Amino acid sequence: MNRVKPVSVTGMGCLCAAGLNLKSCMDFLFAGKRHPAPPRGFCSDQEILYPVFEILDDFFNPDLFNEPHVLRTGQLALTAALEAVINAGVGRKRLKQQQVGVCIGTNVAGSVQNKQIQNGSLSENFPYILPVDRFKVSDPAFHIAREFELSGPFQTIVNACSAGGDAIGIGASWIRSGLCDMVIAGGTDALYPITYRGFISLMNCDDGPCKPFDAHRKGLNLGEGAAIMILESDTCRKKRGKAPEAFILGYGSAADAWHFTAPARDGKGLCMAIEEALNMAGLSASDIAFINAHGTGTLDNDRIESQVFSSLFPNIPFLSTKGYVGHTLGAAGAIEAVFSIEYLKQGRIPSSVGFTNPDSELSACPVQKITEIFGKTALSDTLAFGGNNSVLVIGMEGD
Amino acid sequence: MPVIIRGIGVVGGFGSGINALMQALQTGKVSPKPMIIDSVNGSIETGGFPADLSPLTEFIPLKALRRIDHYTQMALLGCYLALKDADMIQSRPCPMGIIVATGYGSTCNRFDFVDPLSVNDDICYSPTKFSNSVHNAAAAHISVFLKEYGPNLSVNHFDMSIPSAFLTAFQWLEEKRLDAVMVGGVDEYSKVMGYYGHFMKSPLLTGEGSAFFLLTRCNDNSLGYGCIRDIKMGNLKNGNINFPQNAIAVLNTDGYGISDQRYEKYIPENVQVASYVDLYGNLPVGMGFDIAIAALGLKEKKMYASSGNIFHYFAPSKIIGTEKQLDFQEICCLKLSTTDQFGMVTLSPTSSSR
Repeated sequence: MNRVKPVSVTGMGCLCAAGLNLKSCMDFLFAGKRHPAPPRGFCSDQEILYPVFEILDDFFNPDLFNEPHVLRTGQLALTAALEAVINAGVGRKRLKQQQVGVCIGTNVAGSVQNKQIQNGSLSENFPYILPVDRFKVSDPAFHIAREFELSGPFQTIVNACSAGGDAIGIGASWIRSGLCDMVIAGGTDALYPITYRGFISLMNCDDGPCKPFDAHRKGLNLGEGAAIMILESDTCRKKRGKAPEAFILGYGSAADAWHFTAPARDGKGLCMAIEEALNMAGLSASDIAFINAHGTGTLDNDRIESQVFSSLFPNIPFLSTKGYVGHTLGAAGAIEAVFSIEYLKQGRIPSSVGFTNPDSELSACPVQKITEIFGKTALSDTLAFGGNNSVLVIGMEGD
Repeated sequence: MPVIIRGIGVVGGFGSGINALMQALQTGKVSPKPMIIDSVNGSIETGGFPADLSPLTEFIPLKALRRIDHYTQMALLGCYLALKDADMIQSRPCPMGIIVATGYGSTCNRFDFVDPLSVNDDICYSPTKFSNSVHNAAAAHISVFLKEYGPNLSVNHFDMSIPSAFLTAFQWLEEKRLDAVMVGGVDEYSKVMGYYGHFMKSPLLTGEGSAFFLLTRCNDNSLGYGCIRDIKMGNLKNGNINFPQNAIAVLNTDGYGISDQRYEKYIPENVQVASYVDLYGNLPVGMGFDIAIAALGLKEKKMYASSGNIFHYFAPSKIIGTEKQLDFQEICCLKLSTTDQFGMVTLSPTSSSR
């Protein structure tokens, strides 16, 4: 695909284990902190308790919302969306009047409702009826569209771990094509017993704090959170005199076509997604100031990314934020895209926490300290279950 | 360049393949199968429209399917049938995007009413079952079996899943990201929804199946069924739905009166209506079958007689009660969601009306 018009980002919101808003997340990351712990939100009867990055605070304020009766994944999405809307300086009235779409990535939004169905009260005469009614209205894109009374298209993407990045890429295309004036795009996922135990069953969880790209890495730690961007057409933005925060310059996605749970050994899908995203942005690898890696801390993921980065982006600094916030699944691509914009604004990236011992089998290593970056463009990638690869190119300059 | 439907693959209670669907349209009837649901309140006998997946072995050896569950197998069969229908099994356009819509996702039929918690644990501790329960399982397996590196997307949006998936397929083709997209929907017969329909006394039985479409950008309209002209999604509270002049509307009613009676309010006077839900049953991605029926109608220049039970809501003259010749009319497949959202996919016989 040839170079396309950049899409303005005019507002952002984020919450995860690092903080309950974007600013507090950034302060936390640059302070080098992390607090993984066994899950509190649900009981675990596992012999080994695996640490997770849980949001412990009472983050959801129902008084701020017209439609507050949603489950945790929806609460995370609504909270991040409200922060993004406020940050964009756009009122509810304008949102209602404009053609505003919603595109949200998630993993467990539907499954949370399934859990309710599974546990339907056995004592009732007609169990499962109420949970089914709730299941019908469980997706986070719908929650946001209903809360802000939006009239545009909406989409809930369930591309496993790449869903958040895909949602932003697709939301940007809705702006470019004129389908929407604004798009509320991002990702959300809450911790959930089935994913927690499911990942343990796949034997790719670390029983200590995760160590992305480290020689002693043993797997991922799950996390939870949400991040939302307001994407806006230039016409709409200029009309209300809003300067862009950043731009979505390119998006690429490709499949490994290899195996359901293991990434392709040659990284071909990831390379194809990177190539598409760079072409769309009209940039080359040397224009990238830093890379936000998926960096889960699993043996295979980190090996493939390291191999691809050293080949396509030699000497370009990269980091993984999974060590700070865990793997937030469908939210990860969106959280890290929002973080990447903040890194560009600050001209620095935090250390890739958890990485201390270089792996002789990896051909590239992440940064070990807060690192100054030079340039206005970043690349953020996510790799997913099923072999999905999603790449965003983000910049501070639109031309 | 117009977006053309090059091939269609459908699997449902009516059989598999576009010819099986055409046969169901001609007879106007598909017999449901008895379904037994074991519930905490004892066994419930009801009916449904289960899909037979035996034709899948024409495309994939049985051995390769041993860890692939019923849900994903339905998607695979729909996808291969669409390629076969387009005569592109051996030479499909590359890269090809893959977009899979699902309302229930891949986990729904894992519930067990007798001992739901044990099934929950079963999913948790079996890596295979956990992997297959991830919502993008079907799309991922399609890419693996086809060795397709193109963009791969799964959307899960209950009864708006199909228009949502078509919207993105259309966008990808319009912006020339790709030359071809395989887009479709799949939902498995869910004991939960079968139980729900039984106790809610739905006149429409629960169905399952998949409907897949190979869409391409192409100037030669004679190659396919017709064009996808437009996809609209939005909120009913914020205005009316705009239909093309003299269009035909295929309504994806769900059998619940409170939901189905809303269609009448949004259909203009000059638009005739039809519903075919009785041929495939109630499932969130049922609109996919409507799109297949509309495409078939465009190709054959005729609209089959409505078989769905919509006479409560529309005057007889408004319903396509008998087979009708089409005269360059556009066909709008419409779904009104349970949540005041709408999705509409408009098909056109030619690109000239674009």
